[in-house]
Amino acid sequence: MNSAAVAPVEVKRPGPSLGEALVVDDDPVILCILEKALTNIGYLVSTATNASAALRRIERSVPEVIVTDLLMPGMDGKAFCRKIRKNPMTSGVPIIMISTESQLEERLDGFRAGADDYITKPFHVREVKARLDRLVVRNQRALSSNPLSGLPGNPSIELEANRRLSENRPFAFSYIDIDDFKAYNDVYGYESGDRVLKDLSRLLVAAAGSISTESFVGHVGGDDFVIISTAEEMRAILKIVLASFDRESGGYYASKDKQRGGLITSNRQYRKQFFPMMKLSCAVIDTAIRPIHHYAELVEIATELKHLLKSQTHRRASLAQWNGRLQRKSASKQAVYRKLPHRQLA
Amino acid sequence: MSSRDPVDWNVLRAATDNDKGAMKEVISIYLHEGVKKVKALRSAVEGQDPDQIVMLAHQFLGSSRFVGATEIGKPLSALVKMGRSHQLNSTAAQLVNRTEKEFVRIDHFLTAPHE
Repeated sequence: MNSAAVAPVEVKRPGPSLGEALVVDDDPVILCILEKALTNIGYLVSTATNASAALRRIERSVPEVIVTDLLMPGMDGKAFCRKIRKNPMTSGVPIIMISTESQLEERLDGFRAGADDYITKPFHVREVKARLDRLVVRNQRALSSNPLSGLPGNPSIELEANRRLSENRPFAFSYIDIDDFKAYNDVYGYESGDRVLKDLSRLLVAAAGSISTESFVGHVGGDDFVIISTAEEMRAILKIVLASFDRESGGYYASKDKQRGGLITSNRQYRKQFFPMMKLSCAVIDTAIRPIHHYAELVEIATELKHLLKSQTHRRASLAQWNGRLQRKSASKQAVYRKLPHRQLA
Repeated sequence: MSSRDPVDWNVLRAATDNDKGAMKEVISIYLHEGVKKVKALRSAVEGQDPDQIVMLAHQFLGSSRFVGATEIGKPLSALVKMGRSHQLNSTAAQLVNRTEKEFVRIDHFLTAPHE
């Protein structure tokens, strides 16, 4: 082990990385134990034997989590912690402080300096792993939450998809968006548009929660959402979502637009155009159909299905199910998915 | 663990999640660093440097706990206390002797063949 300085440790592992963990301790024994433990659970581990070296390391790359000793030569763990919290780039990085001190005052001082958790030596390495995972997941969720809906955003969606991919168990990934939302937003304004997005967020969470406790709902941004669940549960969730949105979307329109069945407003070329009332499009990918190895593959397939759903040919379909093939810009687009008109789900 | 063993294997197993490779590496680093720490502690006591005594004894105490060596913790804890109070006396040198004696015992125990 190279415990002498701040050189990052190169780790080759299969599967998605949990990110970088920085371990700061002047004791090579502790560095060795933590480096091995954190590498085993999927972190790329960097080590530093003092706080100054750790700060130089952080200038080059901000870690996902920091584990630091309290008592170190030079700058101690508390001063190091305060410096991390003061820097806007690192103020949100979770910090676990470790020490042989188990006095209440010492622990409180650590928390006052900005530590998120405290572990007394000697620790059980499985406890460190559990505490670390909890902190990192919570931090990523907080950082990536969509400010409008409060739902987990892109980093959390990717993390959740990668977690399920690494478990090697099939799951269904559904990409949901609102057709003709832009026209509605343009005519009724952002406040009304935001109300639609908030209502849809609540609907997705309620529907997913009513079917499964293991499902995940995320907000990609704008009118794009994601649900991750098992294939069977996904069918039930989407049945509720599509029926509810269809039933309630009329309430967002004034009676004249409702009677007409949509809006007349300018399109992207500034020409007047009729836009039907909003409806949902759902692109569903079942990983049991063909193994998927990376989150980027899921996104690519979902984007393709979404484009197909929005194409003129399939304009009235509400749900597209991936059949295991991906063909872009080909004449045989129908071959890549099975479309299910909305009414078939009811 | 026999009552006379200087090390509790269960502590080291817990610290390494029973990873034999990691245990071997931790022991190797602990013994290598231990020799240096005893030497540095003796020198800090001779040089009447309480801050250095606290730093070294505290660190040695921490790593000793990880390998399940509890007996060595007694003289080390006393050195930390003495260093913090800035009241060094002839006992400090005796505590270093006790630390060294126990460390030699740990070294013999850890380098002897085990199951």
